[in-house]
Amino acid sequence: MTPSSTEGLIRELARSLEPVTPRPSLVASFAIVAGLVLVEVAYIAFAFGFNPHFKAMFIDGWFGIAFIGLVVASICGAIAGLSSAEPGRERLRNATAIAAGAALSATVLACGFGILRLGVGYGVAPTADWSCFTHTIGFALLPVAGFTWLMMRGWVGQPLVGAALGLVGTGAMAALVSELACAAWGPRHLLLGHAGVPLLVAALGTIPVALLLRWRAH
Amino acid sequence: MGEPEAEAAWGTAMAAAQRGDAASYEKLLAELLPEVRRLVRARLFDPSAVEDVVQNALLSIHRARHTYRPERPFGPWMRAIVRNATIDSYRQSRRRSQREVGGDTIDFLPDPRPVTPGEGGLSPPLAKALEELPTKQREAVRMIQIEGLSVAEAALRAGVSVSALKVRAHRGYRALRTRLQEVSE
Repeated sequence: MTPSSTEGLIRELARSLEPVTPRPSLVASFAIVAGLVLVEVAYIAFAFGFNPHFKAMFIDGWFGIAFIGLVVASICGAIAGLSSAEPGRERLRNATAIAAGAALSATVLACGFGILRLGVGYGVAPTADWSCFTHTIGFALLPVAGFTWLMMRGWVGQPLVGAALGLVGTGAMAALVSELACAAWGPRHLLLGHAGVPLLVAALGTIPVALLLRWRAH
Repeated sequence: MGEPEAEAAWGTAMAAAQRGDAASYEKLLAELLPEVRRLVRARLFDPSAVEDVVQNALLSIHRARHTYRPERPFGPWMRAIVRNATIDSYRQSRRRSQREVGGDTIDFLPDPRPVTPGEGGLSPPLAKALEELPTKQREAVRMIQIEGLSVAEAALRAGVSVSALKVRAHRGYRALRTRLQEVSE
């Protein structure tokens, strides 16, 4: 290709220019995903009611750390994923990705510490783990769909990274939603029924979402 | 005009382009061109591929223009797109390795029959083979080889990325070779 054909391309690009609606800002995008999660929280409040012993669960230090870790992972993961669809936001993406990774690690470590201290059998029966796990997966569907839609409206330079980060964030949001209604107790349950879901969602969803983003880009 | 002032002006021009102001957009792209070339050259080992990547980067800027937000600085936005386009082009060229599908040349097999140029100066067997191609491949080959568009211009017209257009063209060339080979045997 020659410089003159580049100048021809510029003329062609200007000639074919059509008005576009700017993509929602990062704050607005996050608000959309958070709004979807709030819809689920409202559904839980009406359908099941919140766990009445929720505050009491914070007495155990490991639960407090694990829960706060999930909150940080959900916010930072979602921001990291959404910012990867906006060129020029790499610093924010990297910082929030590190924060989300550290927070999720803290959650897993806190659960691990709780298991070591209380024993793996402490708390509810393993059947409750599976029940909460499936509910959490179900709660992940709406924020994941919203996140994917927003990503498709952006320009994702690294689809795999963006998808993985966002799915960790939206998976953590789902884990929080299900935790609000969950009366079950115990570090093993929190890990398998709730906190493990973001990792699973990211593991299963990253490639399909990345392929979707790549397809959209092409 | 210093760099921050220039970037602020580019941001204003891109905001106007988002509203459909073609004159501002053409001026903006023309002003960006030296900067895009400089960024691409800084990352590319092969000087002969620079213009190809520059066109790809301009096309990416065009496609990503809806992601620019006027309240954000223009420079990091533009540089991130150019950087990604350069990396993409490098990966694609590695993948293609020996298969050049850029569309600058195409080595069609010689037509064994007497040539009676038809539409577009093509020999009848070639024109027939071209017509038998799937629509997307035929359009890609036609735009690059007959209309003489660059790959980036053809990609813009087809509404696909440069790499997708190259894939279509490559498949078209391969199918044409096969069909012309069958005719000559």
